[in-house]
Amino acid sequence: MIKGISCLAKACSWLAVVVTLGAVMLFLGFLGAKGLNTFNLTLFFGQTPPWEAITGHLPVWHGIWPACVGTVVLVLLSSLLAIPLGLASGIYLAQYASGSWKSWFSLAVELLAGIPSIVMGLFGFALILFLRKTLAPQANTCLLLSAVCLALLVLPYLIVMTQTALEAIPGELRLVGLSLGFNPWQNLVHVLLPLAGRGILSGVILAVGRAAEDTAVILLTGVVANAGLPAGILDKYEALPFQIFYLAAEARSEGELAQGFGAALILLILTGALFLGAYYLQSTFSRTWDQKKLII
Amino acid sequence: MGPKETDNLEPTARVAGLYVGFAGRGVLHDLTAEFYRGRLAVILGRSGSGKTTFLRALNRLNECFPGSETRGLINLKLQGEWRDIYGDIVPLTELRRRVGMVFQTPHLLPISIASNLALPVKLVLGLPRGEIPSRVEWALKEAHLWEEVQDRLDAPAHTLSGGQQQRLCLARLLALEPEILLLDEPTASLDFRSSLKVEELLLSLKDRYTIIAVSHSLSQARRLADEALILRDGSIVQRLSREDLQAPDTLQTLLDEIF
Amino acid sequence: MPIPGQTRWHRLEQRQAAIKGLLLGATIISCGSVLAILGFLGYFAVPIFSQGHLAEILSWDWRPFQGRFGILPMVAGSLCLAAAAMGLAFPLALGICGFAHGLGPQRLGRPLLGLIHFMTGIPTVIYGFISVIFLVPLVRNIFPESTGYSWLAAALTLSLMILPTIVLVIHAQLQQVDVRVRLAAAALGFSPAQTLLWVLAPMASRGLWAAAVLGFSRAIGDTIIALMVAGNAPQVPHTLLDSIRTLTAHIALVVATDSTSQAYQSIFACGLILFGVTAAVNFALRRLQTRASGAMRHD
Repeated sequence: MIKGISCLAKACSWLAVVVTLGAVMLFLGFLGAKGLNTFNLTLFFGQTPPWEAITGHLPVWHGIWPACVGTVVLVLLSSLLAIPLGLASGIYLAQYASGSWKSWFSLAVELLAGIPSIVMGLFGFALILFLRKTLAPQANTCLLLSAVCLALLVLPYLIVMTQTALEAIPGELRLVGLSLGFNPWQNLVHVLLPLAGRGILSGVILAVGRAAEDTAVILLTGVVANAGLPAGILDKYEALPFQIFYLAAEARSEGELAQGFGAALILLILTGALFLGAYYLQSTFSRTWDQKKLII
Repeated sequence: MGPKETDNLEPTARVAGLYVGFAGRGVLHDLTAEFYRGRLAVILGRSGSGKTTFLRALNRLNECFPGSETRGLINLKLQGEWRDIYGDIVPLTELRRRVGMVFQTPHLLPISIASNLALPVKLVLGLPRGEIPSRVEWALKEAHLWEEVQDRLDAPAHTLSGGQQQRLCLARLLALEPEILLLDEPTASLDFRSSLKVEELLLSLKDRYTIIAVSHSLSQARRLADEALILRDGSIVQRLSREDLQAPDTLQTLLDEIF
Repeated sequence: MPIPGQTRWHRLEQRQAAIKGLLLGATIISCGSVLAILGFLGYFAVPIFSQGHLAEILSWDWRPFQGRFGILPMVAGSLCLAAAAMGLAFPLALGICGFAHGLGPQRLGRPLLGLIHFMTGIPTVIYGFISVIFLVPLVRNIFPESTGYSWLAAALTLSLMILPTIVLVIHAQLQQVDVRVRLAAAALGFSPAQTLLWVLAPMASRGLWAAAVLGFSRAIGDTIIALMVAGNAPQVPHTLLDSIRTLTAHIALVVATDSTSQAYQSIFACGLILFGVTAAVNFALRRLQTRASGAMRHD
């Protein structure tokens, strides 16, 4: 009977793998095939000549260039907010915090990590409602608001990966700099951060990827289907994920649908590359430290 | 052993009634000892008897661990004057530079050989850039490493053998002009030949520094020590001179004690 | 003669304290944001209680133009969708993990896990997009009485999305089982398959729970797939082909349509419910972690 169970389990696992692989292959293949077909200049710029489109002299209709720029600007802005904050918090938690303060902070970070993105967007929306009632009646959802909410969304990744990377450094190695007479800051900058660098970098890349792909937050905080190139941080803007979302529902022609595929493929390539990079960095990082553990 | 032997020597470290505990658990109790310049003292004891904790008390590294508590008196003679290192008069960074420590496994940074020396010299001593290469060369010569690495100073430090790495750690210390050297089982991770080279180096350094070493090897203690201190239950229970160590019956006592 | 650098030391200590203060400040801002989020949600949900709308909100009828603002159909929608997605994803995940850890050939295990890792990088909106273009018409063709936008289509899509999370958590748990245990089993003559079934699997049970909890929370927290594929009818589903609306999609829809204040109140109630689910999941995971030797958490 045991042999029978073994065989049954094997068969089931093969079935699971085949089904999953089949679904994923279909999925990616479909996207790849239809998406690659659309790769040309009109995908990005519509009928507008490329140079004028890039410099913003002429608006782009039926092209995803503004959305691409919007995504890039959005991700840059939210990274600018999130990376210093996240790294600083991660360093504090790994190096200075202890006792009950540390557990309360860790709890807060865990809760933040678990908040669904729509709730983060709702927070942004609530912020605007609040501002309208009190300090700034003109307040409206905009690029800045989205960047702030996205920064909060990816903050946990940065904090946790920085903290983990620093705490992975073996105990004695952390003491070496101090034992030579380095002060804590010198030890951090010249010894610990370089040693933890790859782990931290993979956290940064992960955060950037997450910010680039998110749709729910930007849905509630200022993204629109047609705004052209982002004019200012207090204005509406376009973004790739939202274009895909919008086109899925509102595409009225083959051309628009094709645009959706093109945009989807570009977004996939972007986030896929980022996540693979982060994964690669993370695995070489942990391999280094596991080796060190064996020696010590 | 006794006042006769140590009369002519200059004491550089005095420990009295030292207590060190972590999170309420005491490791060292009422430890009293004296150390002299020009002498190599070896601390012997069972694992867990607190040897490493004692070394770390001398450069206040125990404070890097949460829940640590230190009581008692440690006076070190630095720059010609006696100072209570727990009295908060000596800046921590100065203390640790002058009381240097070598760990069991060589902890080198993943940078070049020369940079491993240049970085502390630049950060801790604040030497101007022009003076650094000569200091690096001097330190490597002091550590008997110069001939072996002079043509590959830019190679990563990890390409050195275990023994060379440990001597590089010593060079790193020496570059900072310490006065007291603390060695925590410096040859534990090395093979026999490399160990002997390191021991040779230590003997050559003995005259100019106060060296306090922890060792697990009785034969090493017999080769190196001017004085052996037996640590048991958190305090020094016995002091053996060089002659005592060579006597055959001491060996038996020590074996019983430590193993 | 004082040791040189006494005054330098004081300034250094001040600078170190300033640095520590800055880092602490950053941490307080990061962690305080959770309180800020909870605060704002609460602030806007207070009118529900102060105006006595709680009973209305907790009703089964959502017809805003007739003054009905019940969100319970959305609660049902979220639960139904998450449960269905888990029902598909969890067995598949078990199969995949089993395959990679002994039930399948060694050489295929690593590329398989590599693919799963890659899947974590696929944006949710792309799952939704492909589903709308491909899956929804397929469902419509097979079941002509439905529009295709259904519980079924959404569950299929969502299960594919949460699959990598579940697989990776179980995989991490299996990997953590001591190498010696595996060697011991092999020494006893167990084949890799038998080792998995009779030795590793019982030891990994806490990891299975952690994976289930994490997968479920990802399913509940998803917005885009539900919004694009599930149909968004505010009703309790009776068949798999019915259109449903989740709490998450509800929030997006109400904000987009810019309606009455009572409708807004309902979405803050939804937000609070979702926040509460998050906190509960966190609590459950902590309980599991303190007992297991560290089930890895993926987010």
